[in-house]
Amino acid sequence: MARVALDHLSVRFGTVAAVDDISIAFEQGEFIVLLGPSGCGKTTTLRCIAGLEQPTSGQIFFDQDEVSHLPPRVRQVAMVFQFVSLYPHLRVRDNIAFPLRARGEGRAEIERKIAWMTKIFDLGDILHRRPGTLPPGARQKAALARAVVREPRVLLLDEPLSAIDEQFREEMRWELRHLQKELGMTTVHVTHDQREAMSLADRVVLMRAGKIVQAGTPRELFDDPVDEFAAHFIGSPSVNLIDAAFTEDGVALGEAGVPIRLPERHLEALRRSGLRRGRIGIRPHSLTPASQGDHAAVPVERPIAYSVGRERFLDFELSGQVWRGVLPADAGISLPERMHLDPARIFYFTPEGVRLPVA
Amino acid sequence: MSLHRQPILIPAIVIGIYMIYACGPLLWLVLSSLKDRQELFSWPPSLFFTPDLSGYRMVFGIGEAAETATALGLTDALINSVVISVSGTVLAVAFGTLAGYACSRFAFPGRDDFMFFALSTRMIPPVAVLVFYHVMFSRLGLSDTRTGLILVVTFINLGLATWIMKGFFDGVPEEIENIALVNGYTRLYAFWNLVLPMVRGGIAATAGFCFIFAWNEFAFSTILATTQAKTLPVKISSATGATGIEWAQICAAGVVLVIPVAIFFWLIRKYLLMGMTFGVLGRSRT
Repeated sequence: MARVALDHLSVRFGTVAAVDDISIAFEQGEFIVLLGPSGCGKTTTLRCIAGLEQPTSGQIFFDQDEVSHLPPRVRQVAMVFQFVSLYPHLRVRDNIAFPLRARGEGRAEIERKIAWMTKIFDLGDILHRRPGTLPPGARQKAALARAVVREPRVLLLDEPLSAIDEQFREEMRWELRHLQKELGMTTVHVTHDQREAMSLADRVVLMRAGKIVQAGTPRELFDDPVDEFAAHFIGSPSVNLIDAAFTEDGVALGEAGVPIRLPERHLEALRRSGLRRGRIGIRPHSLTPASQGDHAAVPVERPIAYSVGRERFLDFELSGQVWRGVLPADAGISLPERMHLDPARIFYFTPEGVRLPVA
Repeated sequence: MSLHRQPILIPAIVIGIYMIYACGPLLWLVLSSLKDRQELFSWPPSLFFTPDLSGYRMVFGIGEAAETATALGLTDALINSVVISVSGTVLAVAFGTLAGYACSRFAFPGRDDFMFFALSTRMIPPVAVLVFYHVMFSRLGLSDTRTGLILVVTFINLGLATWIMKGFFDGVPEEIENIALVNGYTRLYAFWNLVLPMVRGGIAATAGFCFIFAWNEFAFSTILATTQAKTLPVKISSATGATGIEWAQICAAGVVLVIPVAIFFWLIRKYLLMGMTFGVLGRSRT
């Protein structure tokens, strides 16, 4: 297992920079998730690490070894692809033996490793079947076995779970996480699904337009987004956002100018920025029914309350936008007239979307 | 029952008319090749008669019929045609497969221009470049040689072969190679052992098209092959000798000309449609 370092990595297709000067290191045994909307460069980055794409500039290191321009076959990486992962003409066991045969390993050695994989992945029933006859989940499991069997320096996963149906996907996530920890594999996983990223990663690398927006633990990305994009991309249900005017004693939200009073240290931070206007964001879970005389509260108009499982949400209109808050599970049928914003949980953004720090 | 039958009637009539139109000449050709002079010009044409093989004997130069002054002796031309068409097809398919693969998988600068150029070679009317070829071939000593015609046939088919094969390679998911590449194999291994077997049908279709174009090629052959390297179509067209037209012989030669094409079409019938649509049908990219 290796530590993977990207140093000023860029990939250009014509005039388009798919990956734009990114530098980051993935520690040995770390589970990294590259997250972002489609076209953000996450898959290209992964393909660079695999050697399927040539960097235009910059370097890639596995431990001390520079691998930037080595062909994939000598990099000792393993990769699981989104759709076609197994060879349809080979039985599962031959698929697993495929990378071992490339290295010219002996028959006994191959048998031993197939047995090992069969045990880990519980493949006994499907070992002699062809991939076409298997459900997608079992296929990806076998693909994972083939990736792991060669004991790669890095395990690369290109949206391996997206073709699997919802129910089985959660089971696969759990299994993937266990395996990764057990085998201590440095793993780079690409996905556009933030929930998948949050549930799998030691560290999430959020990308946009070829650049890294933010890298950190799932918790950090959720609680402390660096900008509006990060705040919006992470978390479901997604963050409530609105334009705001920064006033003497707080902010005025939306065109209606709904006033919110803020604690002094927030006001100071806003004054320091010198901005008159900006945007604020608050996650639904920090928006709860207000008590009497609350000054950090917004009025609830045209409310709709509903439950998702045991969670109760309240959608309402605020200055022409739909906001979402949470209701306590034991609340009665009467809906609150005002919702409280937890001041410690408010994000402040410049009009360009950069987060304003509130120390 | 009648509801079901009626809509079929009109298409059946239309197809029937087309079949008569399409197959009539062919039937006439086959029948005429077996008739003697007398029978040939009787009206209405007879369907039942004693077959006379002298036309075929003259074509292949067998027996006394070959001794007559008008006998064509097509054996040489037939060999020329087979050698040139088969070699030209093999070369065009081999290079077209490699070029098609490159164009399908690698985004090299000028790829689109190259693809257009490849296609444009098929849009050029042969007559436009004939003089150039004639001069070039005489300078290079390729005039009237099989090698020269093999080159010509390869050239006229290469663009088409590249296009058809690119279509088939596009239908093969890139992961097929990528899996092999990251698992320790070379691209050559992946191409040869994994991708090529998946486009066997495409290769068959491409070969079929190339062979048929090569077999039927007339314009270049007429000018560039004057005696030694004469191909079957050229030879047949020159069958109108001084002593009159040997219709039975010409018809027999025509049958000989048609047979290989018919066999080839029959062999690749499954892949024909795929080939015509540049491999778009039948496979979708995942």
